[in-house]
Amino acid sequence: MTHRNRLDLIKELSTNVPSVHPRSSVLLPAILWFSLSWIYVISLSLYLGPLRPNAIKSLITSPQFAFESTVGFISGALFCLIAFQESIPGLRRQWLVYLTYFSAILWLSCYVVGLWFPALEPSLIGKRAHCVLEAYLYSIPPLSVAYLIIYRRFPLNSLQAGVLTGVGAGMLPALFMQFSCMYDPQHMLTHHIGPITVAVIAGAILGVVFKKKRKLK
Amino acid sequence: MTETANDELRWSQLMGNAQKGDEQSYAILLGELGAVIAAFLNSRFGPIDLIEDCTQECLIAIHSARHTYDTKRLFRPWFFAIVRNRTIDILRSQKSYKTALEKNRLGHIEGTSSPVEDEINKSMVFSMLAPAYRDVLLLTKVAGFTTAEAAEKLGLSESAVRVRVHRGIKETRKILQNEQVER
Repeated sequence: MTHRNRLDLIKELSTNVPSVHPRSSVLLPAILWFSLSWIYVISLSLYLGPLRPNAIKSLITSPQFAFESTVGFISGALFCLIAFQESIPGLRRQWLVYLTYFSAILWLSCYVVGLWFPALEPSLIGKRAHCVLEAYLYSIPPLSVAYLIIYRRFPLNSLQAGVLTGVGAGMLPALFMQFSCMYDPQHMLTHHIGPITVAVIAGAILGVVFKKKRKLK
Repeated sequence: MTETANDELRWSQLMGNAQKGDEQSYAILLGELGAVIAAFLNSRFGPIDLIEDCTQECLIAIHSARHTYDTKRLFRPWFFAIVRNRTIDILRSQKSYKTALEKNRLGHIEGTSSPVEDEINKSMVFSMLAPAYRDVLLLTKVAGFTTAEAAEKLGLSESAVRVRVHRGIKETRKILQNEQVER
């Protein structure tokens, strides 16, 4: 623990204090990250395989499919926003956090309900052989970029910021697999949503590592 | 204009200047914030030894986070978020070290009490904590007893003390977060 004089500390901190470029915005980097990550996921996914036949058309023909896709998209965007809000002290809005959790529960509920009342007829059409591995491939790079952006600000709770970023990044491929892999709520839960846990663990590890790095600084 | 609004405006301007590299504004700001942090912690935790350490750690955190302050936003929510967070971090990582309070031997555990201890017990945070959490936090985080020593004094197992410390800190965080800081 410190046992120096407070005035000495203030003098030390304020002498030759360098000017800093304020990094206080959240919305713009969050939108940029979200958009670029989607471009990355879609491009790589299309490079590795085609969309499931009639996947886009299902958005119009099945309101339930459109609903679960929309809720997932909104939930992903909200996770991205609250993860970026964690990077600025005092910016977190509790109601937004609750809204985000609610949207995630609603999104998951869609697939649980889908086990009995699926939005589309479950089938193997469009199945990707390595969809779980693809999910990792699509989520880890955006996660690392997002965490770096967040770390360069000042997350007070690094672990929480990492976890939220992990959920946000993990949701991107989970959502897109809705269109690029086979449709079956059980497959969705185990092979597309399940890998989000790995992204969350990776985010948590990043949070812990970067927290230690900041302490060492 | 109220005093709070005055402070808000002045601190915001001073931080704006500090972000541009104005040494004098920054020294004034840190001086004022240091006094506010010490008073804030004193009213929440009583006269514990940690206050000066916490104050200085908070000032360092403010220095590291100064690029995240936006002069278009309110200063106090940003400032108190850092203070609350750093305080909890320090409290959690506080290792056993002997303080003046140890000399008072936290009398209430042994049936007597000292004036310093009374003041701590009456402080906002400690008075709001459940007695089970308050006792372990006072022993391990304020008086500097090790987990084993605290366990022996309270007649608990070491793991029970660790659990109570963990929950006590969680409660403390809740108390501080739920507090309505004047904005």
